[in-house]
Order: sequence, then C-alpha cells, then structure tokens
Amino acid sequence: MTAGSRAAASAALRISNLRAGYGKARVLHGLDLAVEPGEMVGVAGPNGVGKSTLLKAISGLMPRMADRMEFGGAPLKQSPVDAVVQGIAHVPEGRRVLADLTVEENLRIGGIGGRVQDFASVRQGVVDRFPSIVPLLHRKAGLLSGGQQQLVAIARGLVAQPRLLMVDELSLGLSPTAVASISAATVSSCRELGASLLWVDQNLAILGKHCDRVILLRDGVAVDIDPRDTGATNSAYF
Amino acid sequence: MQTSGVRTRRWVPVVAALALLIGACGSGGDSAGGSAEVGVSADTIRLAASQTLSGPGAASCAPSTDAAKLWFDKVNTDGGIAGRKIDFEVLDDGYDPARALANVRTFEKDKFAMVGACGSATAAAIYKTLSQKGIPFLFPTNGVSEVVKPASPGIFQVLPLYEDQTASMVRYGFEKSGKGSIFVVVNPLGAYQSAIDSAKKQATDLGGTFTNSAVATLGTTDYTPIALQIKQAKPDYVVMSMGGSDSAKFVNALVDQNAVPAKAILGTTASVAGSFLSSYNPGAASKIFFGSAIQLPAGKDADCTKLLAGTPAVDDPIALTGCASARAITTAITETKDLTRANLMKTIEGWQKKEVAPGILAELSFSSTDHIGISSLFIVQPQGRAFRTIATCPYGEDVQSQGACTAAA
Amino acid sequence: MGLLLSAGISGIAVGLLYGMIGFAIVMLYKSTGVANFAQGTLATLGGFVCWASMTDLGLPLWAAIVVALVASAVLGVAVYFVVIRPRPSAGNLNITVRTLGLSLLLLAVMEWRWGAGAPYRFPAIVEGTGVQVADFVVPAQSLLIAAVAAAIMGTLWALFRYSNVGLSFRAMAEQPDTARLLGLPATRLSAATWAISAVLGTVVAILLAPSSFLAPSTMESYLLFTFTGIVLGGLTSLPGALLGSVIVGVVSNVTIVALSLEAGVLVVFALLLVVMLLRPQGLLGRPESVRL
Repeated sequence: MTAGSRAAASAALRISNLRAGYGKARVLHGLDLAVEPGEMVGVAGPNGVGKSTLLKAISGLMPRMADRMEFGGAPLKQSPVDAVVQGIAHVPEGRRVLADLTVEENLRIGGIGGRVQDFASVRQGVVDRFPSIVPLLHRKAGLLSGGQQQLVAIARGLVAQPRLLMVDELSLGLSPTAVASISAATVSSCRELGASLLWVDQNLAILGKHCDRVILLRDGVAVDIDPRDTGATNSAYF
Repeated sequence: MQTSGVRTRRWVPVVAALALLIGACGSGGDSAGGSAEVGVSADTIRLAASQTLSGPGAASCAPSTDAAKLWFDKVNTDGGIAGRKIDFEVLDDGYDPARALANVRTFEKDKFAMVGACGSATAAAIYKTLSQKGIPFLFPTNGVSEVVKPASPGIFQVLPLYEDQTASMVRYGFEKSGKGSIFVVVNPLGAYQSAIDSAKKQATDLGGTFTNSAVATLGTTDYTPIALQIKQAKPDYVVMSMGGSDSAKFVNALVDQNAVPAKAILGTTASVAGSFLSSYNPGAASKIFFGSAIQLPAGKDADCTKLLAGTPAVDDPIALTGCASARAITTAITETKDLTRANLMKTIEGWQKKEVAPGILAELSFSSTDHIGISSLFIVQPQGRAFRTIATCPYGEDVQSQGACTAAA
Repeated sequence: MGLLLSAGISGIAVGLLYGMIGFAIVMLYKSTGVANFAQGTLATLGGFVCWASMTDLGLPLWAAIVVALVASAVLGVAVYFVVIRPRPSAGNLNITVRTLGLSLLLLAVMEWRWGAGAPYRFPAIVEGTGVQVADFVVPAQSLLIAAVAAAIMGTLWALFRYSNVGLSFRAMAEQPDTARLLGLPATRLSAATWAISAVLGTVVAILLAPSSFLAPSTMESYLLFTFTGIVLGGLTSLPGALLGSVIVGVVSNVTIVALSLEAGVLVVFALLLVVMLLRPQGLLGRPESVRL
C-alpha cells in the first residue's frame, strides 16, 4: 500500500443508533452520525455528555451496541487495533504521549501501529506540515509543554496514514495562541492528506472556525447546529 | 528461598494448633501397661519420621527415609516381626524446627517410636518433647551434642557429633601428614561454635596452630571470598563441617583460586553425601579426607547393599545410613520380648559391640549414660564419583585417650 | 589490601551473574510492568531441559542448549497464555502473585522429576585455567559469563532502542491502553516478551550451572541478591541491573573478607535501604517523567 492509496479510498463513517457508556451508566442513547470522506466535523457539548465516549466507541476501546457501524463500507470491529488498520487514528484526550520515548520514537510508534509501509516518507510528509516539531524530535515527550505534546499526539496520529483522524479535546488546557496554530495545522494537514476529521471539543468557537459542520451532543444524541447561532448554542449547553 | 519460607510458615500455626488439639485429646491414652503400648497392636507396629521432603535439603535428606521404608517393606514381606507388620509414616518438615515439632504432636498419640531423619536443627527442636513423653527417637542424623550429651531417655544415635569429628579429623590429619596450622569453615548445622572450638583445641593440644575460622550459611552462593581468605592465610589444613553441596562448592572455589591447602582438606560426616560426589571438582580429591559413620563402599554382602542394589541409593551414604538405621531398629524390636517403649530402650542400652548392619555400620555400644553408639570413625576419600574407605580411627568422647588409626585393607 | 582487591574482583564476577538473572526480570518489568518471581524457577527448568537432553536423549552439549532455548521460548509463551493473560483486569499485584504461585508449582514439578540425585554437576561450556588478576583467579567460565553478559546487554539495549519490537515493548510498558489505541498488537507483544525473558533465563541457568550445580532450588539463593541488585540499580534500567548487581557482589565479598560472612549480607541490605531512601528510583532508574 502506498502513502496515497489508503487516504484516497472512500472513507465514509456511518453510524446509526449507537448506544454506549461506562458500565450501567449509559451515556449515548441511540446516536446517529455520518462523516463523509474529506469532511471536517466538529462535535461540541458540555462535559460528561459523551463526546469522549463517542470516539472510544468508534475506535473499539469500549463496549458498544449499534444498528450500523461502518467505515469505508466495512463494518467496524470492536478492536482498537483493527480500527487503526481500517484507517482510523484516535488522538485521545490528555494527549497521552509516551513520556519516556522521544518525539521521534512517538512518531515511529504511530507508524508501527498503523502498519505503514513507507514510513520514512510518510513521517517526512507529516513533519513538513508541523515544522515546529523538528527541534523537539530528540527530546523526551514527557518533558514537553502541553501544546507541544498535543502537536506530537496529532502528528503521531497522522503518521499512521488515517482516512479518519479523531481528536479528543484538542484545546483543553492550552493557550489560545497554541490552540489557534495547532488547529490550523491539523485541519490543513487533514485536507492535504485527504483524511476526514472528527474533532471533539468544548471550545465551540474554535470548532466553528475550522470545521465544515458542527454537531452538538445533547442527552446522548447528536443535533446539527450553526455554531454562529449563539442562542441555539446556549440552549444546548445549559 | 525467601518466598517458600513465607509460604510454608503461613500455615504452620494452623497445623501447630491442630496438633496441640489432637495432642491434648490423645495424651490420656498412653498409660496402659503391659504389651498394650501406644502404637503397638496385635498385628501392627506404628513408626513415624519427620523428614526434610521440601526445600533445599530435600534432595539429600529424602533418600534416608526412602531407604528405611524399603527396609521395613522387606521385613514386612518376610513376615514382619513376631507377626506384627511395620507401618511407617513420614511427614515433611522442610527442615523447619517448628514444623518438625508440629509433626511430633501429630504422631505422639498413636506412634510407637520416631525414626531418625535429617537434620541437627530439627532433631534439636523435638528431642526434649520426645524424651519427656517417653517416645523412643532412634538414630537421628544429628551432629549436635545437646541432643545426646548428656544422654536423654529414649534418644539414641549412631552418628558421631560434629565437635568430636572435627577433633578426630584434625588428629587424623596430623597423624598422617604432620602437625600444622588449621583454618576451620563451618555451616551452621545446629550449634556450630563447638565444632570450631574443639578443632582449635585439638590442633593446639597436638602442637599445631589455629589460623582462623569462617561461618557460612547453607546455600551460600559464592564461596570465593572464603577461598581468598584461605589463600592468603596459607594454612596447612582446612577443616570443614558443611553440608554436601556446600562442601562441593567450597572445595571447587578452593581449586579455582589455587587455594587448596598444602596438606589436606578434612571434613565431617556432613560432607559425606551423594550431593558432594555429584558436583565436586575431582582435581582436589587426593587431598580430601572425610569422617564417615559408615563404611564406603558398603560391604557387598550387607543386607542393605543387596536391598538397594541396582538403584542410585546403593552409592548414596545417606540412603545407606537410613537403611542401616532401620535395620538397627528392627533388630532392637526383634530382641525386645515384651514390646514396650521402656523395654525397647533397655534393649538398646544393653548393646555392647553390637553388629547391627555389618559391612556398613561399625559395631555399636550404648549404655544408660552413653547414647552415642559409634565406636570408630571411618576415614573416606572421594575417588571419582564414589567414596572409598582408607582408614578406621577409634572414636569416643575423649579423643586424647584413643589409639592410633589403622589403614584399611 | 591485595586480599580486598581480589575480593572486589571476585565480587564483580559473581555480580555479573546476579545481573544476568536481573536482565530477564528487568526486561519483563519494562515491557509488562510485572515483576516475575518465577524467573528463577523458569530459568532452572530451562537448565534441566538442557540437562535432560544430554543425559536422557544423549545429545551433545551444544545441541542440548539449542533444544533448551527453543523449549523455554515455547514455555514462556505458554506461561503467558495460561497464567498471565486470563483476567487482565485483575491488576499487576494479582499477576505478580500468580508468578509466585507459578514459581512454587514449577519448583514442585522439578523436585518431583529431578529432585532425587540433585544437585548435578553440569558441564562447563569452556574449560581452562582462567586469568590471574591480583590474587584472584578469574575462572574461564567467569570470562565467558562476562562476555555473554556484555553481548546480551548490548543486544537488549539495541533492541529496546532501535527495533520496532523493542520500541513497542516500551510503549506497552508505559501506557498499555494508549499502545492498543495506536494499533500495537498487545497480545503478540506480551507473548514475545515472555518468550524472550524465558530464553534469557535459560541462558543464565546454563552459564550458572557449572559453578552452582543444577538443582531445583539452584536459583533461589541467587534471586535474593538479584532482586537487591536490580532494585539498587533501578528496576527499569538494564545497565542499572548490571551495575546494581556488581555493586552487591563487590560490597558483599569485600565485607565478607574484611569482617565476616554475616556482615556481608547485612551491609548489602543496609546499602539497599540507604539508596532507596535517598534515591527511590534506584541508581540508574529514571523518575517518572509524565507531566500532569
């Protein structure tokens, strides 16, 4: 498989009637969601509404039930390893960089996990899009700032050559400047690599600025909103 | 080591508590006189042993009770003793004195006598209880003096004490190769200071000198430091009282470090074990002399040699000792007319220059004040993978008054 | 002075042995977070497989070693699937206790099969007079041990540092969930770790057996010093395992010569206590560098 072939393939995500949660505390109650190939989708909603749960359910990290769960025309298996192989990269909440590994090694792990054939060129392509990562390559990831770690986590997701990148709480705990630059780099990278983006964040404004479409999670189901319509947004949050 | 210790001790209190309960229930039943002795019925004599069947000592200890069992089985097959069959039960004590004591409490209600097994430390833990209850403890593999000196009622052994052996071996070495300096190395096999002291006293009494001593725990991983100390001290003799594998490790360290003493390495019965033969470096064999309670190789016509023939046990000194001891026990039982514990003790105390296992054990002599039966010590030397007896030395509590050793034919 | 120097050098020789046992434990701990208490008995079992291949099957030493190494790799994988993998949610303490149970089980099996007649004298892989350093003669086998220790350490270091597999081991060790999320095959990697550590253990057993003899409990007296050495050196550091173990060997042997045998053990544990108080991560261990 070459660098481009995976991204070029049709990669629509189709989910209907998804139910998931922690133990008996169900968080998602029959959620429907579709992400078209190349589409940038933002998911907003207050804390605890099930945004992270949605991403974990898609990548198979937690048990779930659904009438339909397909990616690129194939059913999604309940296994994170299979999800990566099918082309879904998940950048988890809190970045979760591998602290004892260098940045370079973090990127390599992304490539190993994604079964990337031509790692050197894929890595170079990603590093070129995140030039600020270059001076950090040989530092331990655990010693970086929060913004730098977020960058590493996203780059690590991208070297797996995903057809869908899922980012959980990109803006959490970061300065507005850092959020702005990382968001821009992420979205433009996805567009250039032909990957779609499913981006979960509490920061509705940043989602609205970068995404093609924003949906709001409320009571465990998804509602399409116009992020510029503050009235609708406020009623969703409160 | 650490882990197994923790594991085993966890249930020891439970066993001990159970044993106490059982003991309390059973202690009322041993007062009946005549032939209605505890552990003796019309058709059975119940014997028992507490043996090291687990842990590091198990491999070298277990053959003694295994061989004893073979002997008892043979006696039973031949019709038993006066119509009675021998029932022999062995419980594991893991060389743990507390477990040995718990085993005794289990046995005391229905066993006639305890058969000796491995271990000075375990023997020292149980002999008082056995003696107080009047239960005979026949021929423990013990080298510690408090168990048999002064004589406790019912406690008899055939093996020589370590402290007497180290003195005897120093005397043998000086007699053979001339007086000189000694360096003593011991494992703490029960009380050990007396073994060092008596070697020191013997050496200085005979005009030699004492250089130094070292105490190493059983299972020491590296004997090199002691070998280096010896290399620097340059003694004429190394005197050791150590377990079988430890003896081999120590001797090998001496060889590796070119620290083998000028005249001889002298050891006690503790070294005379299959575990030494299987693992020592034969390069030092010509300088090694060990005291042994049994003749090696055992006489071809001896009952135990025939019984163990064809098994590895026939070359294992500990198995031979176990079989010979069992043979001594059945001899004593056969010679006791009215079979009670008290009468059995009288029978053994009456033995003078008694041949109980010719070809293996030397003659045994006991009295009411002397419960160590052995009268001479065999001197053996390793040759390849076997020991060979090269001399016989008189053995007794007073080493000074003994005559000279005689070379074996 | 000459005596102390010789004792020090002899301590290095025995310390290398402790360190080699430590490698396998550290490597498994690094990759799975489990302190494997069965390492000693697994290694001894490997030694016995080698022994049995020579005595029962009549193979030459080199062939027996190959058989033992292959068998221990298989055994390592089997242990992972049968003992370690079921119910992973039970936590590392539970799994550590399982290794303790496994150790006792294997010990019992070896006592049953090979207990009688043990210890066995195991053939040395190299013969020779060795090399004299100060008053201490370094036996040929010790030179071999030093060479193998260096080779193993170099290989493991390169494995963890440069190879994809080694990198995956480290990722798994640090964050098992994240490693899975990134698509690393957790099960296969864990099984491989167990295979490698079992093979390492067998290498050590085969090197150790000529001097310590082969008996079911051979490794147990070494393990105490090994654990002391690797905790001293930092539980996650391979060079630390070697350094800590060599320190344990040198300190104990010098103390034994200068004072007494009991003092040797005492000083080693006192040293461990002091290091743990002053530098809890061990000499070469790294403090957790996760930013919260």
